[in-house]
Amino acid sequence: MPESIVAARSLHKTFPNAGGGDAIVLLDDLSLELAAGDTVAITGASGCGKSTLLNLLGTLDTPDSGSIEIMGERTDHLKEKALARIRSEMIGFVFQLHHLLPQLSALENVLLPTLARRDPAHRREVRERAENLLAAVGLSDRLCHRPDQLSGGERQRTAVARALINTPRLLLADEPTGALDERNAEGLVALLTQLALEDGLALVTVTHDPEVASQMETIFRLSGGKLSALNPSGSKS
Amino acid sequence: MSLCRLILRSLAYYWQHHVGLLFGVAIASAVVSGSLTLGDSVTASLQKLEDSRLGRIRDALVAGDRFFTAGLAARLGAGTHVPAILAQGTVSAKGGKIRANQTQVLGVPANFGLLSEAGVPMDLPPGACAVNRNLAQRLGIAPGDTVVIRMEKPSPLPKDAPLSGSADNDITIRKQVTALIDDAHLGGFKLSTDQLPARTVFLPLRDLQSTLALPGKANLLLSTGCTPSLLNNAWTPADFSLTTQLLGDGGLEVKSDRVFLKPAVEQALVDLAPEGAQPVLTYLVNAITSATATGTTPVSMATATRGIVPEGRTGSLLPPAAITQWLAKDRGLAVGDTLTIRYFVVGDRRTLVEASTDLEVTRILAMDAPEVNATWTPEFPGVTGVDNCRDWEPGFAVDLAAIRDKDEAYWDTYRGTPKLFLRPEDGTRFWQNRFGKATSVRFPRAPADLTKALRDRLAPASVGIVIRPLRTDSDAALDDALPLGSYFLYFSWFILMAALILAALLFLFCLESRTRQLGLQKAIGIPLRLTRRAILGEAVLITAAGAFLGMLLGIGYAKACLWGLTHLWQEATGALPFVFHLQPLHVLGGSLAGMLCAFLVVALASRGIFKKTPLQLLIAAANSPLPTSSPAKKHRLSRLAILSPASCVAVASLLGSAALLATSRILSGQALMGAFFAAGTLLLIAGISGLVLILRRLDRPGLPPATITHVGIRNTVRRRGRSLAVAGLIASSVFLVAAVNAFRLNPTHQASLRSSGTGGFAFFGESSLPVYHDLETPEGARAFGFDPEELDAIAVVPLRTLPGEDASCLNLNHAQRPVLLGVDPGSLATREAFTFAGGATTWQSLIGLTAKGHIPAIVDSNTATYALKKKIGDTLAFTDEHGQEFKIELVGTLSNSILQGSVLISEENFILRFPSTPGYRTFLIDVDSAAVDPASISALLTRQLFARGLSLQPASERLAAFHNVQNSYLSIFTALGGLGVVLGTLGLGVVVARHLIERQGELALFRALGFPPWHIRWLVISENIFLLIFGIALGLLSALLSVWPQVVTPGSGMDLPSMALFAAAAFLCGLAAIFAASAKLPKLTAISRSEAP
Repeated sequence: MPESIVAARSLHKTFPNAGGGDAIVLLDDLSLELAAGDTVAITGASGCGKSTLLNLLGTLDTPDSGSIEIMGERTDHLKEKALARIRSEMIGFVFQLHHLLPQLSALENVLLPTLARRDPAHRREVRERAENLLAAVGLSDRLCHRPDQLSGGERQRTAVARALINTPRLLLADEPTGALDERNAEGLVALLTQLALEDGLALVTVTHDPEVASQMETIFRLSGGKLSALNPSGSKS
Repeated sequence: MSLCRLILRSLAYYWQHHVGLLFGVAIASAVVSGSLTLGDSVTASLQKLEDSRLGRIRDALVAGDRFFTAGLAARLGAGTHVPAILAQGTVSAKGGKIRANQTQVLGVPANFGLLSEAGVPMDLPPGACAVNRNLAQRLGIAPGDTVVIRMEKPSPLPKDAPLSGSADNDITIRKQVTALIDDAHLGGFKLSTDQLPARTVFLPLRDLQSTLALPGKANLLLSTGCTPSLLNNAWTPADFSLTTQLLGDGGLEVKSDRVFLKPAVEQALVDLAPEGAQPVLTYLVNAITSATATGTTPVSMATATRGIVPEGRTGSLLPPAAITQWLAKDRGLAVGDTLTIRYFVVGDRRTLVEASTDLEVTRILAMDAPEVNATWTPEFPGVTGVDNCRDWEPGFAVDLAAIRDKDEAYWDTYRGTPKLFLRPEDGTRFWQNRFGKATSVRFPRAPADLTKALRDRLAPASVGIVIRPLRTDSDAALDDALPLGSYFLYFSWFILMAALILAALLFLFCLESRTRQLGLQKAIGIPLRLTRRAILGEAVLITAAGAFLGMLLGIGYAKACLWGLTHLWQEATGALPFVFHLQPLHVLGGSLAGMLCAFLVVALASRGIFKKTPLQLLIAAANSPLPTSSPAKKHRLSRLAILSPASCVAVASLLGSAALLATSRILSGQALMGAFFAAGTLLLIAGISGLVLILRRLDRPGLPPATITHVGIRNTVRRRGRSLAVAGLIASSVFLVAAVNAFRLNPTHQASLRSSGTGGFAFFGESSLPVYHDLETPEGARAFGFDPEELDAIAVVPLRTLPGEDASCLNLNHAQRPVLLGVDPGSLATREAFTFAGGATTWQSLIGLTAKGHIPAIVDSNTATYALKKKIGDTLAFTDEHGQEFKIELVGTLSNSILQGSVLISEENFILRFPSTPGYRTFLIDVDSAAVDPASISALLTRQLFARGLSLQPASERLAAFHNVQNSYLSIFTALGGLGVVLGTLGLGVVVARHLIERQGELALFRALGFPPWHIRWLVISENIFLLIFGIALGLLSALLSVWPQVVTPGSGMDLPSMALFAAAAFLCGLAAIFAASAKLPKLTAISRSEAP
């Protein structure tokens, strides 16, 4: 049986209604389990809760009820310090807006997640890994360039490399191609799926782009707080 | 990737954002280190003054009006010891047109100069006369000019004593100035530690000794080190004014040049031979009468001693007396007869009261009896050295017409031979006075080594010769000097707070623009502590750089403050010449303190951001916050508005303010000022509460806004808390800085009232030389050439004065020996003069002793609190002229009075402790201004008492000098506080910048809707101008109410133009900050390229 990377069970999440009525239910008894190598797209209408689901899986948010396990470790009741460790060691994020630090070079941005590790030997090792990752995303000649010296696609690819530097098991991408043109978007998605496959990651992509979704193994649609597989194959929901 | 690299990269990238923090820290550090440097400079200035005052002098032997031998200096041994004569006088120049009172006349030998910093002998040849620079400046003279020095010839007896000789013993010396003595050569020497520069004329010691008829004498000895043991092994009886005389029967008599032996000296002599020592008291009796003969035997000597007078008849109540044959014949007396003697005893103000006593003749001595000789009689000034009785000047009125030829013949033959003898106890009972009860002590045989024997029993202090550790006293005074540096730190509080708040705001602003970075770091698993360390690491480096810059700015700040103290606020520090002094450790410490404060403020302010979750940080974009209350809630609230907390506070505060104003009609003085200050404070509170109601009203749905200004003003409700904080902070700051002026002291306000600080007196007078006569008596008036009617419109309260250090707010040093004044309590009590601030409520509290046996004293409250650092019930130690320590206890304090700087005790207690301090040197003068022009009285008194060096100052002027110190401090606070408020208004710019970031999208919408850029800019500006104007107007109005009593009172010194200037500066700075921050608006409303996909 493939190793379970992330297992969300009976997640329930609501949002307060500013108009004074009942709370808006974003996720209603939602369950999802991903194993190594699974690539999943989550689609749905704007405001349906796709990013919320991603934030929950990435321990950036907590459910009203239900549980989430990352590599068998339950996360919904952990303190921020423990969650930071999990995010650092097990999860990689790719945001719609790259969120690169403008004051650091591409290489330094990729190395940013390794800040917590002080071991000099580890530093040498990850530097090599960072260079390799940047080479893998086609930016070997952009190591010393700052974000304002990179194109939009290059910035997003740097962000992908940054997400992978700590060898995460779970890669979460929230609208990774939202700010890219068609060509760059295509290239980025291919990169994500390739790297996920190579490294045995579980990849979850939130997107409203059908082209991007079609590149994933499984496409889920989030509607009414529930997930339904549009092309069920392999992943359980 | 390392934390250091992240910190340095971020610092380099965001350096522009950090400029605000850098300058905020620099200002804070500058204020702290500058204040410390100012304090060091003041201390150094005082130290410099002290060093030039004392040179190498460490100790002084001070004898006051007593004189020891100048040879004592040589006998003291190792070290430099210089004898001198120190006297008080007046010096006039330019034909008497300019006069300097309170001048020191210092007779010094050449080696006086060895004690100076320069260490060279003083060039003062015989006949020379030098003045110090201060005196030269005062008189406008230079070497070659002529000066007239007036001083008093020292008397063997204090002038208050009976038989002290004529009161008029003034000396006038005309000299040509040969040199000016600067401070490096001890030109500034004086005994007291205060900032008032000395006025000194230097004469060669021998010249002055000759002029004063005191060859080989000195009353001051300056030393590089004089200890009690050195002194005790060096002094001789001659230093105590003691002379010895061998008697015909082989005995020895010890007398004093000062006529009466001090009680301690008499006792020590008696202790040398308790069985054999024979105290003697010889007195001058005015007249001797008896029933056995008509007429009187005028002025005669009488001696009280043992072994001469047999007891009287059994049952006789009269004291026995032995008379000479001459007297017996003159009065027709026989043994058993009664005679009456009349004699003077000392009353107040040199008044002599005649007393009389009946005696029984128990023995008649032949004129050739061994007891009948002139050796009993000491040298009475004006008497014993005179050839004819009719030329006597004993110091009191003598009926010269009563002197007969036989009396002259007696004088020619027998001189001062006593005509009658009494028992010792009778003599003590009749003639004992505060100067002693013996005129000599006789020994049957000369004691072995009298000098050593006396040294073993007597301390020089017991005769008023004391060692003053001048350098130690100076160090103590400096150690506890006014902490001006600390005061400036308090005054700079607003600048410090404004700088720190501005720094924190700007840092926070920078941080908030990087919230996504922070959120990312958290999201990707970087521990919070590392993220925090990275940000605070930047803060540490910026604050360190700011602290360094602050060190440099602090030097400028200190120099600016010193300039202010010298040119703007000189009344706060008197005539102190400041020197700039840098203490590197203090500068460093101050900068570090500023850095630490700034870092703590920044760290605290940024805590909130770090607490946010990664998600909150990631999505925290520049979005407009939603309205804080729902429409439904607003509707409910509006109905209850009248009962809302804000309404209640506003109404209550207004009512309170009105009530206080109403009660102010019946108040006066401090109570009135307090009422108005409280009313102003309540108005401020009402105004801020009113703003809450205004914002609430603006938030209600109503008519659509008609102009962009209306929209801007309505925008103040979006962040009500922030709007309230901005306006409230501005209002409070403006109010505080301006309203402290409510506590300005007005010396002219009701100055003629007894309850005021002047005590209702017109003049405060001081004389260089003592005044012995009572000006309110015809005799006293005539003594100074007044026509008694001329003085009908004045009344004088004289005060005995023990010179000391000024313990007023004009002296920055801690007064070690304050001036002591002795006053008749009744003269102030009947006038109900002055207002008591605490403790006693009447001057009668000065009478007698306290329950603890101390001498009660009253001081001005400022003197007690700031100069002496004492409170009611505390004690001060003094040493009397007998060398005995005694304590005075503070029983009452006066409120802001002209008596600041001195300690007042009763005249009776004063005389008890300092019997040899003659006359009066301080005066409170009443003038009936309805009957006579006070200015003309002042001119008359000053002219007629010219020889005494009397100077008069209008009491209101003296009070003003003290008040100006406090008023100067208020001015300093207003100036520095105002600077702080102005700096704070710059923070508005930060608030505006934050608004712009938060409402980017909304402002972009306005642009899309076709509003021109200036309208969009005005939208932001109008919102903040409304808050700025509201805050300043409310603060100013409240402050104006607080200071209203000062505003409407003429001469209050209320500086309205400065207040207006300060408000205008705050407004303009705030306006400039708002306009500057809003200038970025056009760029923010365009879509940023860096964020484009």
